[in-house]
Amino acid sequence: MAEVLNCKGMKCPQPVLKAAIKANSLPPGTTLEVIADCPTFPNDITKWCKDSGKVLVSIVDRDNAKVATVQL
Amino acid sequence: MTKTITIDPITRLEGHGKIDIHLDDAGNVERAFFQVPELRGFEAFCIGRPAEEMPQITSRICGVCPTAHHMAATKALDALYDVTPTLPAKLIREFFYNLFMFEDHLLHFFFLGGPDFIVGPSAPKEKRNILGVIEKVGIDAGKQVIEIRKRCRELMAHIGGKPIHPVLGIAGGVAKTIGDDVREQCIAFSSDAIAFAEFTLKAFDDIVLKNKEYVDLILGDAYKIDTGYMGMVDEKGRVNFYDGDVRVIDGTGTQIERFAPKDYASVIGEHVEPWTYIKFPYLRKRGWNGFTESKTGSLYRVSPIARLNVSNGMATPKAQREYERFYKTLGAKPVHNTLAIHWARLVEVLNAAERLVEIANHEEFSSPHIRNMDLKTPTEGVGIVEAPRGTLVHHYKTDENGILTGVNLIVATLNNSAAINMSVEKAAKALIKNNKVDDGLLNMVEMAFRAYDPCLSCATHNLPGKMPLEIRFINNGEHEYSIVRDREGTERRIPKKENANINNTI
Repeated sequence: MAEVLNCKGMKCPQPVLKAAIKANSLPPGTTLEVIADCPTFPNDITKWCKDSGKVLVSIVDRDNAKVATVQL
Repeated sequence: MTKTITIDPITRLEGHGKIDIHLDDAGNVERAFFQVPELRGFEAFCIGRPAEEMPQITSRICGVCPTAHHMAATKALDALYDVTPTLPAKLIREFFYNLFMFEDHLLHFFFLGGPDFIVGPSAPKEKRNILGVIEKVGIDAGKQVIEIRKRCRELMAHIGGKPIHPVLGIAGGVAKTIGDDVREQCIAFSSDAIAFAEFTLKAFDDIVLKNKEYVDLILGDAYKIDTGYMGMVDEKGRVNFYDGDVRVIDGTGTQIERFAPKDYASVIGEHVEPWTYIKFPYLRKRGWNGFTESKTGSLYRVSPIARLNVSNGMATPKAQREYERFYKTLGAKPVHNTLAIHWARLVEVLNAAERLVEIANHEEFSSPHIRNMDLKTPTEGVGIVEAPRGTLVHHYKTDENGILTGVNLIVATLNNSAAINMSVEKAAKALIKNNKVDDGLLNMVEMAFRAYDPCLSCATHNLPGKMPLEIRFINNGEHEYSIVRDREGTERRIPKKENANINNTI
């Protein structure tokens, strides 16, 4: 079961900052689903995963937002 | 009967302040106070906000120096999220910051403090402004001033995202890259900025340093106070506006502190007086000793002159030559002459312009690697930059969700608040004798605070709980009575003031 973080309505870099805070409270291996609708969110989440050693599993469209699935 | 002279509002500064000068029976100055009657309260109402909003919120503190607050807040976020910005991000931030220092210092020299020299300290008040400056230096020179500042602001808008309140800095980096076309603009502007800085220094030389009356004013006791000094230095001990350690010297020039931003609270204490909203920082280890002028006391100053005094020199060659000329001319280091801040400011204008050239030509300046996003859980962070007026501290504490639980801002003008009071009083005592006072003399009292380029809207964030207030009821221009609420919340009606009230406005 994935942890879900809803960042709809937030402008970048806020979704990634919230994701970083959430990620640091979860054990390694957990799957985190981040939902956001800022246009630059896919770039941000991709860069965050790369810089912080997380695995970006997928980014998909859902309900006028992007859903990024990240394995911590 | 004793008399009080009130200069309200004081002019050519950012924010609102007033000066009360109390004369004794002989018409000499007994006491003088520089009061700040406005309150902003950012330290209180930012609590509960997400920390990442601070670069945008605090840039609204001031319309003159939003970039200083934006950058201090951005650096505080770096510390809060324990993330180191990439080299290209640092270069873009520093370039942007030096653009800001360049234009802000020029604003003060030509629009705020400079008219006192360029037009004259006792010139008619309607002339002591930018229009008087243009009349004096000529239309062409005036157009150059406006043009270079316009180009600078346009470049800042391009890089920072907005003309006034930037949206550039984010934790670990910056929001956008410098493209090759913008880089070319940066290189072209920087080169012109050096030429303009040299032009301005020459103007200062011709107008001020070659005028014996002005030199005597700068070197005279009326505008000299002994204090310590604080400013940021790089790893070689040279002036740096954007990053480094903070060095403190006493009034003899001896280093007494050198600290990393995170340790500021162990060095700086903040004293509160009941008669003003501004706080009075002091060196914590020496304790609050009151408004006492001393080379070994607990009061220090920040400002361009403080940065020069604490440093080993400037990091760029032309500014270094001016730095050497500055101390050779004034004869000693540290320099305690308040009006010499005007000259030190122009040395920094040249330094900023030269640094722009260096950064614009750095190979990493237009690199796309502008963010490090290896973010940790936020807890506490301190960011320090040198604002044009001096050392600026932003300190944030958050809960585990990054929501602010504590905010402390030590703003440049706050650091200078005790020194400004002492400078104003000393100038008033030296200049006003035997009841002889006129508009020109009162402007010369104002020159004592104006040299600091104070920004009072930045500096008043203490929220004591109750706000003292005076409402004046004026009928056909006559002050009939006031309703006053004191610090304890007690309200009373007082009749028309009997004191002389001189509005020294332009």
